[in-house]
Amino acid sequence: MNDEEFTRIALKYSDSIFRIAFNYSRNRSDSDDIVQNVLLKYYKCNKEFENEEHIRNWLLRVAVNESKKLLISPFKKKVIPLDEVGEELIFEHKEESDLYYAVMELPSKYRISVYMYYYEDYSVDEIADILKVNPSTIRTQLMRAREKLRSKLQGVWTDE
Amino acid sequence: MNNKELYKSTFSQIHASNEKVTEVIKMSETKKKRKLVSKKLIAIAACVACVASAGIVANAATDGELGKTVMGWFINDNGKQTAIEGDVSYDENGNKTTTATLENGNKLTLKEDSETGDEYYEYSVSDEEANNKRFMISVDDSGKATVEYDDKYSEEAVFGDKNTTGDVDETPSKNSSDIVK
Repeated sequence: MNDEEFTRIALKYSDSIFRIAFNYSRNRSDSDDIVQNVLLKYYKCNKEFENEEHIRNWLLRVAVNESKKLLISPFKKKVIPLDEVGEELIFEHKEESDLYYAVMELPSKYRISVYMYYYEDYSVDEIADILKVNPSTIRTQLMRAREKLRSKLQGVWTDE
Repeated sequence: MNNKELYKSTFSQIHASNEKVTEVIKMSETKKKRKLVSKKLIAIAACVACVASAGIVANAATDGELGKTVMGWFINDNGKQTAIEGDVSYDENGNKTTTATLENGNKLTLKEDSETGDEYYEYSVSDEEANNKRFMISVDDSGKATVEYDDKYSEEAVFGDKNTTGDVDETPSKNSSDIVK
């Protein structure tokens, strides 16, 4: 892998990695650390990737694994209260702000499935493959997440 | 706006730190440059115990062949640099080690981890007073080198390109047998 290719991949997927990490940690500093760890792993790995989709899936899977490791690490930084993190973000619409806080209050396992489905456009089967769980688990997580969001964001989060 | 559009517009505002991403990209470029550039110098501060009054300047071994290889320069008080030659060896895991025994009997070793490509120096002090203390020299990706001793002593070193500190004589000194074994 040459520098140009690594730079391209790093710039293209760093936000996705960050968002996965942030959905786990809800902490910007830890999430940035995870981004660095994942990109360094990618840089050092000698794996032959079939295509860019393969690279993307690999990066997100490693992001999930690194995020889980951090949660059990003794070096996990102090969790910043959710409203302090939210203050750094400026939402154009109140619906966005409401959705953000509602999602961040979901259990982390739901947040990841929700992120990968609604943002990364993965199917249930693809999410299950990346997270190494049964597709029915993902379906259940999505269903429960939607119920909670609908209950909390009446009128904002619509029935599907 | 449907759920997916709302979710995307909300979470598209969450970004990784540009600075952190750039750091990683630079790290990868620096790693490669350090391997390609054949001459880099580390000058160890003269106040490190048991080091000669002039600086000891070291660099990464240049190739993979067995035998002696220039791993750095000894700088005398006048700034003249004399090459230090080290012996290259490989362990069973393919990890490369280059070791030079210096004039004062101390050893300078450059070790390379074949799996990660990481390099680090060790400076072993054999002086009786020092009781065989070992200094670890670590170089971070910005080029800053630190000499550490038993977690209690730390000395910053200068890491730079060849010729930053004076004229270079790449041939071993006449007394090379005293410097290198």
